[in-house]
Amino acid sequence: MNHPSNDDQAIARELAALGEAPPTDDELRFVRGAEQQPEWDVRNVAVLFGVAHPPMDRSGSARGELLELDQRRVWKVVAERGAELRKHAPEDHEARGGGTWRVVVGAVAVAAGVLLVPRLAPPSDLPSEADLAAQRETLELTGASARAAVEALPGPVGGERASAMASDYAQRLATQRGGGQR
Amino acid sequence: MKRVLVLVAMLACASACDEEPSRPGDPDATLRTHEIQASTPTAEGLAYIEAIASAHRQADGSSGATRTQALEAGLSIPVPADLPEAEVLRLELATRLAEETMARPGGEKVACDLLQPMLAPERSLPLDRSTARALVVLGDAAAKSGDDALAAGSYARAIGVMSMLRQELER
Repeated sequence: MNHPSNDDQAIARELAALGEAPPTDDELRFVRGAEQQPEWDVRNVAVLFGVAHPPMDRSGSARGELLELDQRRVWKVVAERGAELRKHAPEDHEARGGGTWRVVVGAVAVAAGVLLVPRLAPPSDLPSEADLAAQRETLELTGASARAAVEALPGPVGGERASAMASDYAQRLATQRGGGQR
Repeated sequence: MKRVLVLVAMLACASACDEEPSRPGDPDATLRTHEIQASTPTAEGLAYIEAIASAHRQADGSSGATRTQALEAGLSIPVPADLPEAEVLRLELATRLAEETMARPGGEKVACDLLQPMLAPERSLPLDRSTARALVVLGDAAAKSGDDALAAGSYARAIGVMSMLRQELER
């Protein structure tokens, strides 16, 4: 089929709206192939994008999902920005509120975006060794980003948190007993 | 009353999301969460929380098998009735125990066995940072033991929890 399909035209329009170059033939072939049999990493991108953007926050289209091509192109930029944020994470750990959450959000963006590095290999029933290695690398990067986000979460953990909870609980119990005796 | 938030993320590519069910071996990123509401304090509740804090302190002051035993002992303490806060405390303890266990050769499978039932996709999890941390540790343990689907699902769910926490904070 030499004539562009409606989907191809829609992709071209979306890319133009994003200020991106028109899709290449390879990219269009990839999108058609992915529709028939999504790759493991592409499915995971959809999951990560979905959980990072819960339905109540989505705007625009009903499900707010990204087209494959959008995922592979646009989120590359997000991943780079997120990586930049992670580089500065130690300083931001000291910051309160917004600063800390910026690190978390940045790392989450990396986790979601890192999976979108373009790999234009055609889909196949049995992944090649290279595919498996890429999947493994993707998983490790996602894990590292998720870990960075968790470490940046504000508040005590483990024993410190249990002690803080015990103090707070004891205070509430004392207040309750005091109130009951009145 | 406990407010239950449900977020179900289906596994499929964007265009096929409605048609394709998840396949065996796919990561399961289903996430159900609930908020932990502060309970009415009781003497039993206080005793439990103090016992957990004590278990952590014992673990801090020891290493190796003794540390693991202290954490296991903390997890085995019976939870008093009407103490929703215990869910978070148990997750924190289990996560720490899993981290300790993973440091030993072959411990990643034990860590998975410990955390997986507590964090099963069909369970509602507390909307709390302890959940995100536990899911990341489960993801690490699964990745180390070669269960990539469990690892990917756990990381995705951790990201979901963190995303929801941020939204809660912004409200």
